[in-house]
Amino acid sequence: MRVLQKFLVVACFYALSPIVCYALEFALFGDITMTDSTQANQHSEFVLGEVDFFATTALDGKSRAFIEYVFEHEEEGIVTDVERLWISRELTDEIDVAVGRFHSPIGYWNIAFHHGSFIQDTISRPVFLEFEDSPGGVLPMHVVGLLLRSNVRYKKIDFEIDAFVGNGPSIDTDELDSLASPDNRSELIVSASGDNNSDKARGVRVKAFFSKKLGAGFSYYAAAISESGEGRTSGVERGGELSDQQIYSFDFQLQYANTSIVSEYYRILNDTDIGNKKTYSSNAFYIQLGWSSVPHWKWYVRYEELDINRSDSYFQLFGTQGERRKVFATRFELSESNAIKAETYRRQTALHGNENVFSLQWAFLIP
Amino acid sequence: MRYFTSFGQFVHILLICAVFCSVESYAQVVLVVKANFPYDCIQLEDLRALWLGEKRTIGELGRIRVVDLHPSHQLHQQFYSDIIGLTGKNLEIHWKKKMFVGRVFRPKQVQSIKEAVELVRAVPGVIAYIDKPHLNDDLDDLKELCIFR
Repeated sequence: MRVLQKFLVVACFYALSPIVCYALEFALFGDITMTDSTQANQHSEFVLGEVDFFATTALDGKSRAFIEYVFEHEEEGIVTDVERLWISRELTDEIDVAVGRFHSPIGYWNIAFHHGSFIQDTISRPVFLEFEDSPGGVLPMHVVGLLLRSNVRYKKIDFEIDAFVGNGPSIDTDELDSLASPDNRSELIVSASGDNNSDKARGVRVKAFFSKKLGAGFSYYAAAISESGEGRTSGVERGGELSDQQIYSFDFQLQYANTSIVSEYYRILNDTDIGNKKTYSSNAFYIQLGWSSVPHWKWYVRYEELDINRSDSYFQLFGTQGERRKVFATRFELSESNAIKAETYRRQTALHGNENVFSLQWAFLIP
Repeated sequence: MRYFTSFGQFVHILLICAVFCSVESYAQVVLVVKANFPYDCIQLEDLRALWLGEKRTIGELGRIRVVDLHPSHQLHQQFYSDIIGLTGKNLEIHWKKKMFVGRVFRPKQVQSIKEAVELVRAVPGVIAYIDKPHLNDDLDDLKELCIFR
C-alpha cells in the first residue's frame, strides 16, 4: 500500500509540474524505379532506390541533433551510409553553429533535395551533382566539419549565409592502372573518420530571397584533394595533395504562376599536382524549366552540361569525359506523400556517344 | 420515448442540444503578443508563413518565434483548420519535408495555454494563440494581435 502511495505522490508531482518534452521526429523516403537504356548490353530493370531514414530532435531549448541514414541495395547486399549527422546550437536569433557531417553548402540542388528522391522534381540529379559514391560523382557533395548558419534580413531581403570548415576530401588512386585511363572509376572520399592532412576544406554560401518565389545564390568552395592510398599510381604519398580545388557557383530560382525556372552554374578550378602540373578550368551548368497545366501534374525540361578540360588529371581519375544531357520529365502527385515520375534523357559523351535512358519511378514519404 | 409527446419534439430537443454542445466546444482563437509588440495586426499570409516555417520574421522586425499548443490540445486543431488551413497528415508531411532540409524545424510546442502565455511574457518577439476567454485582466501586459484577412 505504501508503494502505491509513493507511486501516486510521484505521479501527481510529475502531472502537476510543467514538463518540457522534445519530440523525436522521424520519417522515411523510398522509391522503386524501372529503367531502360538504348546502350548496348543494357536492359530494362527494376531497381530499389535508396531507403532514406532521418530523425531529429531538440535536445534542449537551443540544441538540436539530426541524423540521416541511407540504406542502399548493392551487389554485395544492403549498404548503410550515414549521409548527415550533426548537432547544432543556437548562438543568437540569427546564427547557429553545428558540427558533424553535412551536405556541402554549394549551390541549390544539393541542399534543397538531399537524398530524398520524393521531394526532388525529377528522377535524376544533374550529372555533375551526383553524390560521391554514384557514377559520375565528381564534386564534394558532403563535408565533415563545422558549419555556421545564419539567417539575416536586410532591406526586406532574406539572406541565408553559411560558412564552413572541414576535412578535405581524398582519392585512393592505388586501384587505378594509370592516371589517365577512360576506365578510371575513382571515388571522392568524404574523410568522415579523419583527415589525411591539415589542409581543411572551407567555403561560404550566400543566398538571397528577394521574395518567396525569387532567390539567387553564390557559393565558394576550396579544398586540397589528398591522396588516401599509398600513391603507387599517382606518385603522391598518403596525405599529399592531388589537386588544389576551387569551385565557384551561382544559382537562381524563380516561380511565376504555374511556371518555375531553376538554374546553377559551376566553375571548377583544379591546380593539379599530378600528371600535367597546371591549373585547369572546367564549367558545368543546368537550366530546368517546370510548368503545370493541371493540379498535381508537372512537366520538366532540363538541359545540363559538364564541360571539362580533358587534360585535367583530377577528372581523369574519375574517367569523366564531359557530358551533355537533355532531360524531359513529368511528375504526378498521387497524394501529398507519394508521386509517380517518368523521365527520359539523351546523354552525349565523348566516350560512349549518344544514349537514351528511360525511367519510371514511384517515390514516397512515410511521415 | 414516452417522455416526449411526439417524435418531432424529440428531434427538436436533440437539435437544440447539438447546437449548445457545438457552441460550448468551439472556442474563439486569438493571437497574443507582448503589449510592446510594434504591430497591432498581422496579415493572414504572414501568419501562415510563420507557423509553417516559411518565414522567420515580418516587416522590419527581428526574429519572430511562434508557439504551438500540443496537437492533442483542442485549440491546436481549431487553429490549424480555421486559420492555417493545413491539418492532420498534410500538416505532418509539410513539416517532415521542411525538417528534412535541415534548416527549419517545428515551432516550440507547449502543453497548455498557461505555458504559451508564460513564453510570450518571457521571450521578446513571441506570438502565441489562445482562446479569447483567457485574454482577461490578468494579461494586461499582453495584447491581442488582430489578423488582416
